[in-house]
Amino acid sequence: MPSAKQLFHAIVIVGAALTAGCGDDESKPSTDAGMADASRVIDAALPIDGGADARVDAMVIIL
Amino acid sequence: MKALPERDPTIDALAPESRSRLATIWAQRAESELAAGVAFAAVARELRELDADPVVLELADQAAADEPRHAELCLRLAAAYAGAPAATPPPRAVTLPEHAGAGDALRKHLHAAGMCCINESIACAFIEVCLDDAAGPLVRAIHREHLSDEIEHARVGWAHFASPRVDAATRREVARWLPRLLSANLENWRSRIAWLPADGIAGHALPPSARCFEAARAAVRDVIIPGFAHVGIDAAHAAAWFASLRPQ
Repeated sequence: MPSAKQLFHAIVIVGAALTAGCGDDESKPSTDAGMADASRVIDAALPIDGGADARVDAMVIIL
Repeated sequence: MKALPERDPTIDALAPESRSRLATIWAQRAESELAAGVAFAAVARELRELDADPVVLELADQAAADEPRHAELCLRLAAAYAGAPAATPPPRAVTLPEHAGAGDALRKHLHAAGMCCINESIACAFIEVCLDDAAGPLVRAIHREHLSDEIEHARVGWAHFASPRVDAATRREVARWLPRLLSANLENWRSRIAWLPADGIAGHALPPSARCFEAARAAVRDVIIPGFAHVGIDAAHAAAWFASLRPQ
């Protein structure tokens, strides 16, 4: 079974590189100004409703 | 796609009750794949409305086209397990989440995050553990085909959020929504996995359900949360949410 690192590379690193040119180095920070700005933001997360109510935010899955 | 094996001796050798259960599971899976195709078509349309990168749009259109083919592959397995042709399920109505409180544009970004970054990434991890447990040639071939495509489908989201076309304000909002999206979608996976046989069916891409759910959780922890950070979306809230979960 592939490791989490292999899966991360296959989908996140390769996927991101398609539009942002992040390349193969997963430690390399993005140079996009918007990303740099977002990384500094400390904002309140939205509350998570309990139980079935929370599932209204779920998307379709293949299973 | 490579030609699929005509026969699978591991299916022929399986006990009738297990064959019947697997036929039902794969017929249901075909229905889910068709619904995912409808959802992907809607997400592709929304990404176009957001003026997403052309690479993202191309991938999203391909994803919408892939899912009906996945449904056919699922029906092929359903028929192999049933020993009889499997009927194509009727189309299911699909409604994308309203994400109450999000504006129109943000809602479309959240749909891409939920469908692609979260669910398709979890799907990759789920299919990996299933493939790991698959012994027969037909079962393995179909799972390899699915996994290959699901990787591409997950990339739609990661490519989109890595794109400079997603602005800083949107990134901040998506970061706030991440715990809610992750919670909702992981719960969706948990409930669907709970529908599968708890002990699995060894050799038939159906591991014990605890192993399947652990794969989904691990994908959230090791791939999705770090993935959002990689594409410039603050994942601190998401990481705190995950840390607050009870161990399984």
